[in-house]
Amino acid sequence: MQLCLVEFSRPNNDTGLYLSESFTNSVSSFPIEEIILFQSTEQPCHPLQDELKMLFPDSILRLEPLEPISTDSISSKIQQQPWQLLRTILSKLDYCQESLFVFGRGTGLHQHLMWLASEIRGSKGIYIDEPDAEINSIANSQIEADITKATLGAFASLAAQEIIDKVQDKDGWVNSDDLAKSAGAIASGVNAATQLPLKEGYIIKKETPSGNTIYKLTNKGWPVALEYYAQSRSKDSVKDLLVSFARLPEIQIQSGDNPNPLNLFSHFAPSQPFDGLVVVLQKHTEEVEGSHIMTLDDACDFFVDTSFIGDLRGAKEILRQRCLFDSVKEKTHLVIINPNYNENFQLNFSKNLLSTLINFESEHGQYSWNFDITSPMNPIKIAVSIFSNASNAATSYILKSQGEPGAVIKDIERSRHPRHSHKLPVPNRFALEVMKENHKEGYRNILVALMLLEDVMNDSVANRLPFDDTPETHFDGVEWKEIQNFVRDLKCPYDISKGILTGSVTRMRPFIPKRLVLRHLPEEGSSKLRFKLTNEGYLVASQLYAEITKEEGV
Amino acid sequence: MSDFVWVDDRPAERLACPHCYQNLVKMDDSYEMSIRGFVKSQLTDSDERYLVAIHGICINEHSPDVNESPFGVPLILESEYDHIPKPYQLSEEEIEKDLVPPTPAGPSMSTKNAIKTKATNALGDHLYELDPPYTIEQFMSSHQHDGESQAIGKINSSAYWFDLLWPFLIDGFNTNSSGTIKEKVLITVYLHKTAVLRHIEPIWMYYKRFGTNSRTLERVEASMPAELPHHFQRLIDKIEVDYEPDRSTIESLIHNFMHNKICQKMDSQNLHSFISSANDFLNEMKHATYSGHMSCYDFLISNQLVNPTIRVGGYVLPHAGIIETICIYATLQHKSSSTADDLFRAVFPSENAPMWKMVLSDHGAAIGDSVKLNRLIKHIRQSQGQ
Repeated sequence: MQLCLVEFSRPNNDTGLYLSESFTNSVSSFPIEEIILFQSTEQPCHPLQDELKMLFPDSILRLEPLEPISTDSISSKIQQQPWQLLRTILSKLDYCQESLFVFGRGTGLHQHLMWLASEIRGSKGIYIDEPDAEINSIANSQIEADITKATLGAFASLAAQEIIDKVQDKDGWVNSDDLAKSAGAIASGVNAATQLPLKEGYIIKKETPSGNTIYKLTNKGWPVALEYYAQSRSKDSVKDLLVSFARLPEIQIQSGDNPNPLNLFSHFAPSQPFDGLVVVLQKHTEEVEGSHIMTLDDACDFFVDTSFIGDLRGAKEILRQRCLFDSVKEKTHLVIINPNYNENFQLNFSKNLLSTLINFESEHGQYSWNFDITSPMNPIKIAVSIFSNASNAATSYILKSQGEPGAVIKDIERSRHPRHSHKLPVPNRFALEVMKENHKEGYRNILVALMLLEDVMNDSVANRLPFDDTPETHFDGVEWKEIQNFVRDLKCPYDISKGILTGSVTRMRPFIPKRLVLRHLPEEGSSKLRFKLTNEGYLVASQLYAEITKEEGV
Repeated sequence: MSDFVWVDDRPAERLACPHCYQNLVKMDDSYEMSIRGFVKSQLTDSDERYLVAIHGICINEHSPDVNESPFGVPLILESEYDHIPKPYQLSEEEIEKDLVPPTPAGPSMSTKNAIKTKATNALGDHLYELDPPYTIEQFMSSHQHDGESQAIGKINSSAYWFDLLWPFLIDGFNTNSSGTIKEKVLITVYLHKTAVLRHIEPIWMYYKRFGTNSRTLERVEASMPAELPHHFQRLIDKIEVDYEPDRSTIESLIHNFMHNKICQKMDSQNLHSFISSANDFLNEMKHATYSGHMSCYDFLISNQLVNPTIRVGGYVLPHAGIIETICIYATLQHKSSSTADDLFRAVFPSENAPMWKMVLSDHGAAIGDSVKLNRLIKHIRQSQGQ
């Protein structure tokens, strides 16, 4: 088995160690043959490497550098970085082995991509700070009946409505009448509709003393229920609702010569334009016991005796004013104090987030959800990835300029890109769907051949400055005939000719609507169509290639 | 001997709550204010600006309709209460002289500071997108008096954003249109930089830089009254008379693209030659016949390039930067088609309901169709025998 983690440089303050004893014990229960340490910066952490070698002496430590994310390029290249990172992570995995992914360290982008890679591979995950906590997976649901989907979706919306209505006594239990209130779910069909979810462990049921049957959604069932709830929403909204995360800003530190700048809205500014905003404000504090999730309005009343009450009220005022300036709609925001990895907390967070979104839409109408995954705190990073994935929301990451405070590399020139160029689209649901799809052998071969051919041709034009004159042979896609010739002449130990040498150019058609391949007709020279892979297409092809090598045992 | 201490014995002006007037419940203790989410002074250039209440706050219970923080309302000076600043009216002499009135004349420093604060707050983090073509200074001291305005002019550079824009901002803010402050600032800046500074940029690229979307542009008509204020009318007139794509506008746009990293930087020699080539292409466009007696350039501008529904004061917004983009794209294609593709995708992104499609008319949107644009470029090149 492979253990996959992103390199980090901060040890535990108390122990001075990078990995806790409980983490080591949990990981040791797996047969770890190899450790892949993804290096996301150019500054290796040798003490971590030494500790890994010491703790897992029988495992091979493999260092795999990831291209550092950077603003030092033109806009279109910057935008491609998340896809390229995912591609690199997947390409470094050994497909002959199972993988165990470690979450809880690295930037929001790296953690999301590690999580996505684990879902694509169907692998297990483990939190570095809470190795015993269970991590939900975007399960491959076997549910096909519409009524079952609608019923499961109703569980999600009912859970959210319970929070909006501040219902305290139901603890998530619902009966058939409750479920029947949702579109598509009918009271008389609840028993039949819940059979498969019960079997899969998505819900549990029990009899009340009065003889009624009541149901409750489980942790495992939450992502599935959320997915079906999201599917039940209509898709025609053109307005964007941004869900973003930020630390609760400290406004009360006014004294001293060098007060910290109070930046809250600047976290969201690069994500503009958006039409609606929901912010999740987060804080760790010893002043408050336990973990709390509530709306910002409620928090302004609940935490009235704490030292950060002014911070909450100040944040509320900043958001109110800024939204007014930008004609951005808001309803209320969410506050999380002391987030943790506990499964109940994770579920509670997701339910509260959904209730906030439903609450927003009840006032302003339906919006398209957009998640900015830059700044969730570590304990909720994976929950945010799961939520955004299950709800098929557009996902983005805000790249810090290299010279900005908080960026890894300082004291160099700040990015000259406009702010919105720092917003990177991040692969999420679409990547998972295309990767999970079972491509038939002939079609699989076409994608692989196109990838290999592109690699060969791109190598020949590498290392040239963008404004250098380009020779006639620059890569501008390939014709079907070129793919055939390439495969015919390919010297490799496995056969990818099926579907290419035996098929015609019409075989390219299915890839176009799936956005795996781009086609265009050149304006000069040949009048034949030319094809090239999209980012997503390249990613799929690289995975299919890995499968071929695994099948062939190469 | 102790130092002489000058004592200001003038009576302090009374304070007022914008909603309760003199029936206010004042709170001005720093700690108590901070608990309510307010600060007494702005120590850093940050979001503190939204929480500053230099005179304290009124903690009366205000009606929810007033759209203020429920935890307090910043107090103002009594003289500011219910005081709507009178529109600054230019004298006939000023009108005849130029667009920008001479510095010493005009509204008081405090009015200008108030206008500047409004504009700065409305732009928020995007204030820095004004540079270029304007320059941004960190702040203008509120302790400077009216008589010192000339000194400020010396300190700040000639392109200091507020110095150039304030007459237009005051005009815009004083109109009774329904647009937000930010919407008024954005259209003001776009028209000014295009007309006066000849800083050229397609309008959707500009609005995108300031974090706004199509709906902001749809509302642009509402941000100004049907009868434009004098300064605005002069800007529109100037664009209509003066603006035509030429070497200088191409140069402005390529600098803009390089600054915003839509394309890579070029050294000065390459840049000079690139601009010449793009300008040559513009000339080819003006000479290549499209159909019958019309040149390709005339064909392009024979219909509105910008969606006629996006108008301000009855005038369709200028098509600045669109023809120039074609020239730059065509020139780039000769250098590297992949770089040209990158630029094309950055200007005309393939996304759901793209802003450029909404901004351009059906005629103009054809430019964002790569097949059509490439055919046009090929046609122009072939007409010139290349």
